[in-house]
Amino acid sequence: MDMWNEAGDMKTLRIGALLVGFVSLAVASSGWAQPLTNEDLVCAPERDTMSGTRYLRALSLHLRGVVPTEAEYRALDDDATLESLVSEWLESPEFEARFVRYHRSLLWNNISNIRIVSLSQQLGRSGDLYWAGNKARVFRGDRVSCRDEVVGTLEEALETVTEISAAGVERRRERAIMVEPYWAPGTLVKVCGFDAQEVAISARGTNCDSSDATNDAGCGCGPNLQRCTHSVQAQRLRSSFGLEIEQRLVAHLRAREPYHALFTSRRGFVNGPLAHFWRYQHFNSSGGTRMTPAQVDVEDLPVGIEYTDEDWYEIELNDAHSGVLTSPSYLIRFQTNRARAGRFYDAFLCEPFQPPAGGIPASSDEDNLIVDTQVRPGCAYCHAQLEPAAARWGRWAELGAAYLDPLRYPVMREDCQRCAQGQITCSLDCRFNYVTQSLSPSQQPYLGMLLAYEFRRPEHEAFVEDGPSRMVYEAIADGRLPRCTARRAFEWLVGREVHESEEAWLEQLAFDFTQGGFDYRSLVRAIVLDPTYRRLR
Amino acid sequence: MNRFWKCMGLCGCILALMACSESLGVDTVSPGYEVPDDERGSFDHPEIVGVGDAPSRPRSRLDIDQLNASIRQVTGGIGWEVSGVDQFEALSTTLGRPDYANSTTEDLDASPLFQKFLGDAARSVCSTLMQRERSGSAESIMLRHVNGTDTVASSPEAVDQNLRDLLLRFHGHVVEVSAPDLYHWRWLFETATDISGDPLEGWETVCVALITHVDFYTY
Repeated sequence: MDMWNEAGDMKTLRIGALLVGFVSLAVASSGWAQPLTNEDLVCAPERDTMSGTRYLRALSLHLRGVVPTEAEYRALDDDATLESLVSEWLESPEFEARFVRYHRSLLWNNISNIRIVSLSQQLGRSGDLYWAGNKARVFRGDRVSCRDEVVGTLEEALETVTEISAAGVERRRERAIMVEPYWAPGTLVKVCGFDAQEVAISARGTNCDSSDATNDAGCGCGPNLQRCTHSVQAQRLRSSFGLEIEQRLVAHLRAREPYHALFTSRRGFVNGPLAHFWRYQHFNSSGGTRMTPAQVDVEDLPVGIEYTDEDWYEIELNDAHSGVLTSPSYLIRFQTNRARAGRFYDAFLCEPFQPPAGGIPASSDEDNLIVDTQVRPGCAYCHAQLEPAAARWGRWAELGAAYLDPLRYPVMREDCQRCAQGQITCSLDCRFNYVTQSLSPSQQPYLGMLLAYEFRRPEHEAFVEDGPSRMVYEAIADGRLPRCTARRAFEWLVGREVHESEEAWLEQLAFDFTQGGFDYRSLVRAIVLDPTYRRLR
Repeated sequence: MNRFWKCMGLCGCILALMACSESLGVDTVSPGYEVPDDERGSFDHPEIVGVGDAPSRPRSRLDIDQLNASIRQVTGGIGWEVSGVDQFEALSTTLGRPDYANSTTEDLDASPLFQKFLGDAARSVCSTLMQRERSGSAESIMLRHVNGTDTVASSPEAVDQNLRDLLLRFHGHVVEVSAPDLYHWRWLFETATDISGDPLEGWETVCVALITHVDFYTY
C-alpha cells in the first residue's frame, strides 16, 4: 500500500471511529434506540409539535423534494410566513416534479422492458454494418448479413450472389450502400441493400407499411430507414412513451384542471421520436406490441417535428380517449383490460381486487367447466365486478395501445364470425380482437363478436362503448374517486394508512376536495397544514 | 494504531449508552470546555415529539431524489459523483427507488445498506467540499465564522457560531448560543481536530456527521 492510500485510509478510519461513537450517541438520544425503562434515563423535554424550522424542512422536502435554504430558514417568522411559503411552493416547478414522482407510484409508467416495434423492423449492427437479423432469412434465405462491400446505388447493391453456407444452406447475398438515417441527419451509415429498400409497395404488391411486409423481401426500411429502429432508437421510443404520461400530469397541474380531468382529458403529447413512430413505424407492429390502428390521427400531428426534436408538443386526441387511462404508456404497461381496470381500482378508487381473508373456496371439477368467470364459484368474488370494469377498455387493443374504432371494428364482424365457424381462415385482425374460438357451448353466441362483448350482461354492454371516462364520472358521483384521492394523498404525505379515528377527517377532506373543484393543490395544502402532519412520531 | 481507533469507536459506543444519563462525565472528554451545570444531562431531542395518543406523522427517510437534491443544496452544489456519474442515480435501485417495471414499492428503510452508502456519499461530498473551502473558490459553507486554524480552545465563540449555522443549514435546527445541543458537535469537532492536528479535518468530520445524522436523512 502506498503512502497516499495509507494516509487516506487512516483518515477514513479516524473519521469512521469518531462517527461510530458520535452517531451512536445521536441515535441513542434521538429516540430510535430501544426505549429506556429507567425513569432517570428518560430523555426530556418533549414537545407537542415539530419546531417551526423542522416543520419548514419537512414541508420543503415533501413539496419541493429538497431541504430549504438557509435564507428560507432565517426568513421564517411565524406560521403565516410558513403558510405563505406552502402556497408558493405548491405553484413551483419543483412541486410539479413531486406530483409526477408521486403519480409514478400509481401509474407505474415504465415500459422500458417491452418491445414496441417488431423485431423484423429492428436493425442490428455487425461492426458498422446495419441489417435486420430477424428478416435476414426472408431477404437472403439464411440468418446472415449482406456482403460488407459498399456500392453507389441501391440497384447495384441488390445484385445478389448466390452461395452455399458451411451448413449447406443456399443463400443470396447483396451488397451495402450508405444511407442518411433519420436518427442522425447529416451523417451516413452503412446498410445492407435489402434493408435499405425505399419502396412503399413491393414488386409483389405488398404494402410495406403493414404487417404483411414482414414476409416480403421486397420491403425494406424505407427512405432514411424510417420504418426501422436500432436499439438506441427503440429505447428512446419506450422512454418517450413513459415520459408522455408525465407531460400530461404537468400540463394538467399547470392548467389548474380538476383532478379527475387526468382521467377524462383528450390531451396528448408527442416529441420527435413519438411523432416519428406514429408517422412511420406503428404499422408493422404485428409480432410486437399492437399499435395499429393508431390511437393518434397522423394527420393531426404537428408539422415539421424532426426525430431529433426533444421538445414536447400538445395534441388533441379523439373523443374516445380517457386521459392517462388510455395513454399508450398505461395501455402498454397494463396489457390486458383486467390489468387496466385492476390498476385503476386499486390506485384511484382504493378498491383492490383481492380475495377475502381465508381465500376463496376450492372449486369443483364441474365449476371449472364454467368459462364465464363472472359466475364461476370462487372466481366470481372478484370477476363479477372486474369483468364489467375491464370492458370499459374494450375499444383498446390488449397487448398494445391500438384504438378499435367502432366503424372498422363493429360489435359483430361477419368475416370474423365466418372464420370462427370454420368457413374461412381467420385474419390476424379477427384473432386478436374478436371471439373466434369457443371452449364451451356458453361461448357460442359470442363467436364473431368483439372480445369485450363476450359474456357481457345487457346492462354492461354500454360500458364498452362508453370507455373508462364514464367509469370515472360514476366514481365521482358516488364519491369513491374523491375519497380515494384524499386517502392516497394522506398516505403519501403523512406516510401511513389512515386510522379509523381519522376517517371522519378524511371524509371532510374528500368533501372539501369535491367542493373545491377537485383542486389537488388545495388537498395537499389541507393535509400538510393540519396538526397531524406536524406531529412527528 | 488501528487498535487505538477501534478503542475510540468503542468509547463512543459507551458514551452513546450513557447518552441521557445525568452522570455523563463530559468534562473529562472536553478539557478545553467547562460544561455549565444546566447543560449536564440536558440534551435537546428536537425530533422526539411527545404526541401522546394524538394522530401524528411517522418519521420518514428521505427518498433518493430528496437525498441527492438536499446534499447538493447543503454543500452548495456538490453531489456524490464518481467520474462524472451521479452515484445516487447509479445506485437508485439498490437504495430503494422503484423502477415500476421490476419493482413497484419504494423502500425507505434506513437499512445498514443505506447507511453504508450514505456514509460513502458523505465522505465523498465532504472531502470535495473541504477542498473547495481550502481553495476559497466559492462562498464558504463550513468555515463561515472560523478560519483554518481556529479551535475550540482558541476561538470557542466562533466555533459555536459556525456549528449553529451548520445545524440550521443541514438539519433545520435553530440552536441558541451556548445551548446544550452544541455539546456533541463541539466535542466531535474538538476531538477530530485533536486527533488529526488539523481543524480543517475537524470540520470535514463534522460535515460527514451532519449528513449521516438521523436528522439529516429523515424528516
